[in-house]
Amino acid sequence: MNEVIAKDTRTQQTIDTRIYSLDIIKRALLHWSHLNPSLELGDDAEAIVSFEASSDATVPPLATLPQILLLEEARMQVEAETAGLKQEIYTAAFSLAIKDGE
Amino acid sequence: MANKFAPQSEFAGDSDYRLLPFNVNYIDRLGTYVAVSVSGEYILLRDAELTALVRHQFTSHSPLFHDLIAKHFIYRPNEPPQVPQIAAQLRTKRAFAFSGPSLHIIVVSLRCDHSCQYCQVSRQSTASSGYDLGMHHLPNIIDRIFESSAPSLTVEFQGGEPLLAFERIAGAIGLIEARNRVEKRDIQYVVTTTTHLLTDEMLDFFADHNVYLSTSLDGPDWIHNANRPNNTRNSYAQTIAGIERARAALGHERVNALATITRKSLAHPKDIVDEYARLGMSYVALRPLSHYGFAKKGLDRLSYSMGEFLAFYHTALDYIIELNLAGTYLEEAMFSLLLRNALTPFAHGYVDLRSPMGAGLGALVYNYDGYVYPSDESRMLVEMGDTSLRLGDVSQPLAELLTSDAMRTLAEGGLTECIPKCSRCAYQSYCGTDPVQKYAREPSTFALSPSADFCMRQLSLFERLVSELSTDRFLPVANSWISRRSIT
Repeated sequence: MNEVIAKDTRTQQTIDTRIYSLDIIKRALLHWSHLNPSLELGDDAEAIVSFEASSDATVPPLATLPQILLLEEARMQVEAETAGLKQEIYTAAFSLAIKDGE
Repeated sequence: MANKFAPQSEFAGDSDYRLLPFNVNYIDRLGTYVAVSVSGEYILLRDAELTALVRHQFTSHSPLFHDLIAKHFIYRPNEPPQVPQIAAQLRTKRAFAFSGPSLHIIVVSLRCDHSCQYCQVSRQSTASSGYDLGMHHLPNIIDRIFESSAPSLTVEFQGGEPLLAFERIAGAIGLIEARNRVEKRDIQYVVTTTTHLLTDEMLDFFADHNVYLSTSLDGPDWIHNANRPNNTRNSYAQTIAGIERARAALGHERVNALATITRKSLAHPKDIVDEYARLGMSYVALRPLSHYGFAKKGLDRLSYSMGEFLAFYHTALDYIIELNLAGTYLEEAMFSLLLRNALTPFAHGYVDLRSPMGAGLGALVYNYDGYVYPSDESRMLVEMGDTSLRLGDVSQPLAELLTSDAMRTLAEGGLTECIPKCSRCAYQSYCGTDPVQKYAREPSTFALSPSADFCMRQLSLFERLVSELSTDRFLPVANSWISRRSIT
């Protein structure tokens, strides 16, 4: 468990994200930061991850963070379990095409 | 004695499944997640359900368990994943990727009798010379068309107003038919025309050669005449007369129309839809403007944001659904395409929404001056002075055109699986990539992601589709559009 609290400086709303692993939180924050550069990981990411949303009105509200965290958890889990399988499916689909083209 | 009970594996304990590859998005308007499998099947999941799925907390007794297996989201470890079956479904959905370009657009003239406000192709006056397709290019174009391995070909004649160069159309069709006696391809012809210049001779020729007509009808007279003026001051009346005349000669189903949405159209979604319903059209295609280059041409007054277009679009779609429920058959072309993409296993023929990209791989444009482009939009870029997406000229073999520097550049953004934002998106299976549009709008960030407008529109339509399919109200309309039969 990580001591992770996300806080929106516009609304002072905080979200407890302790149920997620640090890896998932980092990925979610990276993804969100990609869309909203004002969002950053805290300096002491090993122990405590904290960040503050920008006061910029175009940044999505912090209330969307739980959905982003669950999406990231799902994506990480699917990637971890299916990387080889996905390649196998695509290879099978395109191999059939090569045979047809002969 | 027959075993009355399910096999023991049905009663297995927790975590008795493995995940298959899928993508997932959150739909704000529904408050649920949508997951789409590699085979293109989708499922809606609440927060707790997605959590349980990826944490392996479902059991075979969970209500969703068998749905998840049937739709290829999970498999049982004692039953290996059905890779050949999933691969076959993927292959069927992407059937367009396994043959050469199937849409061949021949620009027979830049001359036109209209002066549409949003025209992007530098139309020339009807009296101009030097803007018709050189007849000497035709044999080369026919060679390029038949070099494609596609078993079904669509040859589309565009302008300007292509009927001003009817002899080029007739010449091309004559050469194609002669060649096709040996090639034996399935060929469909389309002429994109205002219909105003149709003569009996043309209609007889089109009837004899199974030619379809595609025209523009932007709405009722006061919208159409403002958007598409000509020197008669009533292009609307001429368009309607042309549609009726063509229907009488060719058959109702061989005349289609699309509506380009301008700023003037935005406040009148119902009037535009009513116009199509009144004419007994089966389709209305509500097409946003291609805005690029407008600022250069001083056309900002016609422009609008994608948000404004979507507000218009969704209102129009509400009304179209109402009309269908009341017994008037009318599909919105893009929504209907997405519906078929989501609910049927088949590939579609629409080249602007494909992965791998339709530009070049699915369609080629042969310009009047003998140059070849990967899409209509890249031809329009040339009219603004940018020739970077020119593939070559009609004398070059197809293989050379498709391995040109321009095609290599476009291919960087040509596969949704490889584009950062798209690779994570649940709608990847149903969507496509349009790198030409991306280049036209944001050349400095070419190929890194879909253009913001493209993505915004597609996401909005996919979310609307999934939302509609979760309601009882829309299902009869969905079934009606897929079976192409009126509800009543």
